[in-house]
Amino acid sequence: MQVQILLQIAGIGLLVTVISQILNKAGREDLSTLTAIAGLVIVLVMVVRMVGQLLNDVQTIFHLS
Amino acid sequence: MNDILKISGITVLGAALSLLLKRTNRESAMLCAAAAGILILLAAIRQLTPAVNALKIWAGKMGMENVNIAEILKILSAALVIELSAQLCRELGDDALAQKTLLAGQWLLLGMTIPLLLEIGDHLIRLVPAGA
Repeated sequence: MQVQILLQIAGIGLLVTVISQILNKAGREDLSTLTAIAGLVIVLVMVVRMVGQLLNDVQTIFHLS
Repeated sequence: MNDILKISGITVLGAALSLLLKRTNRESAMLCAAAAGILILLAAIRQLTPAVNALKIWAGKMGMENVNIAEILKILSAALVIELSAQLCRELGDDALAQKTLLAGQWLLLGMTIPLLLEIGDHLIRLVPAGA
């Protein structure tokens, strides 16, 4: 899970870039913006989940729960 | 050793991927760097468990009140979390918000620390005989 998530985020970023550039060239700027936002939200959810896991770890290590 | 290798690998990989994405997709590059930072901390923070457990055991042996140790651990973890979120914020490109988080954390920690300091003061007053 550790390193794969990093590669997943980079892959999503690349994919979103390619899709939005194709959509831009096809003249669908609105769809391209939506794609960029969707990619950002997906990546953000992954990062927020990781932050939550880290905070959970801090809580368990310092016996705070 | 395994952990150090893992951390260095994550660092280099995160930097490379962030560099790759920086020109075309800036938000993803920043989030990628942030994810790499979180992964590094996740790999490192588990190493703290034996130290904290040893501290608790030692405090029990010394006969210190458990309340104080719990308070100290709480302050320590609060400092850790504040610093962590401020650095994450700085990584995502908002320096001013990171500074505000640090300032708020300092106030919070001050509020949590002052009762302990006053307790030390009480002990000192008890040690010095009255009228001396």
